[in-house]
Amino acid sequence: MPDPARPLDVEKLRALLPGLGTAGLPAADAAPPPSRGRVLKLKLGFNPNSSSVGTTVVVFLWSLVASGAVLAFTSAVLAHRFARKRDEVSE
Amino acid sequence: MSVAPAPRWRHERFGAIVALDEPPVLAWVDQTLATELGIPSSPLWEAPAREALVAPVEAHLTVTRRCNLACTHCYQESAPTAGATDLTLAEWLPRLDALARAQVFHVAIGGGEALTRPDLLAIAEAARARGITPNLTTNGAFVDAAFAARAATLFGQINVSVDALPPHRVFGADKAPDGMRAARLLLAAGARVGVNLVVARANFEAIGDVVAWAAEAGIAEVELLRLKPTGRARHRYLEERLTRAQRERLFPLALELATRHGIPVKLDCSAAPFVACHRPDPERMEQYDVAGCIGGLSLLGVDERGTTSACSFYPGRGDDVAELAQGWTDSPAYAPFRDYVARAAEPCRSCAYLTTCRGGCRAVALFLTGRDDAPDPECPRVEDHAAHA
Repeated sequence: MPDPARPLDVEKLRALLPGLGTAGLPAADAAPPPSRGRVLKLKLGFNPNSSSVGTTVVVFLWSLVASGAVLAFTSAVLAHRFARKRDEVSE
Repeated sequence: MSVAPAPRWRHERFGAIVALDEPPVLAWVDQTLATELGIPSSPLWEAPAREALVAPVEAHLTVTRRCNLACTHCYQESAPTAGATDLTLAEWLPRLDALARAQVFHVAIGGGEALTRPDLLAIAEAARARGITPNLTTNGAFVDAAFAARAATLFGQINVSVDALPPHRVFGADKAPDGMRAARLLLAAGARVGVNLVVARANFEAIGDVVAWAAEAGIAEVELLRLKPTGRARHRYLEERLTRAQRERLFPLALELATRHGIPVKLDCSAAPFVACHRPDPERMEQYDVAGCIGGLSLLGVDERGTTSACSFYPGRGDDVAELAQGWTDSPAYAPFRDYVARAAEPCRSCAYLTTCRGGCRAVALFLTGRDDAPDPECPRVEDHAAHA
């Protein structure tokens, strides 16, 4: 079972939505080396519709998506934010 | 410094799913990244891979069959006099407990018209208290400023139904004025608001006006929903369903409108064949969950009696959701959905999009063919295959 006390970073996944620039990183070059792990799939947004599930077809309009850059960037931001979260917990 | 809200996560065979509410994201991460995030390893990580997740990601809760309207396209046959079989709040609580134990991340609450229940907010609060994000669909008729203020902080997102702008009247009801008024109240209260638009033959040309209004109003997204032949909608389905030309136009139209108005446009899961027929990148579809039928894989329907189904549009032959821990694994109700890829007939079997589209809509296939394992007959590829057979 998940342990709510574990320092799992919330902020890291903020990178997933386009238009957020460096997704809160102090600077674009502050991102740590890419993680070895991978984001396999992203589901963006809520689904309030109670009868079926909506899929965000606008991803086909995002040029960054085509190169896989969003997934790679997300992994980097995840690692950065997780480290920061650990620092906050240890302070 | 603001404190970031606690993330939620659960183990899966492939690694884990991590959920955030702000921004609203679900991320499937592999075992390596899960470990890097601080998620402990799990015996599940040694288990053989399978398509169905260990539990639903989201559950669709029909909290009432009662509705102030009786629209012709209703998939529930809801009406003002319905509701006798609705669970009470006290009866919902153990069922929300079961969803929480399964670590379901989201519930989508609907009806009927959910706001006909005076205890709707109590149901949503109970879900939130159990670590489940409640979302809501409403026709907007009973939304007032007081409700909007409470709902804005309680629900992740609220979708209102606007199938065409006034004076265009579709599906036998004048829903749009109430939906638009409710949207304004909810937006003013700070809620995240979306629009549901059921797409049929008669209102296809009205989609653009709704998207333009939504963008101007500050709506977060518009979801285009394919009409389904269930409930009351089955009576006029053959005359109201989309034409072949409209089905093929739907995906490019969604992209065109999203680009023109700068607002995300979603298509519902049943529209996957109409996306696939344009041959988009299958990998991108998979990575961003532009998916077809996920009933019984990551999605659970729960009717007003608490009975589960793979999808709200499909006959509910599952167990009581209170027994979800056992039922999700053992119930035969999910078999037509979970077995589809393995049993797929042509032309699905040879389709490059089989594992993402998963044969289109099971509810449409069942209605038009009488079979739960048939490819969706309204898929252009399936239609062409049948014509040449």
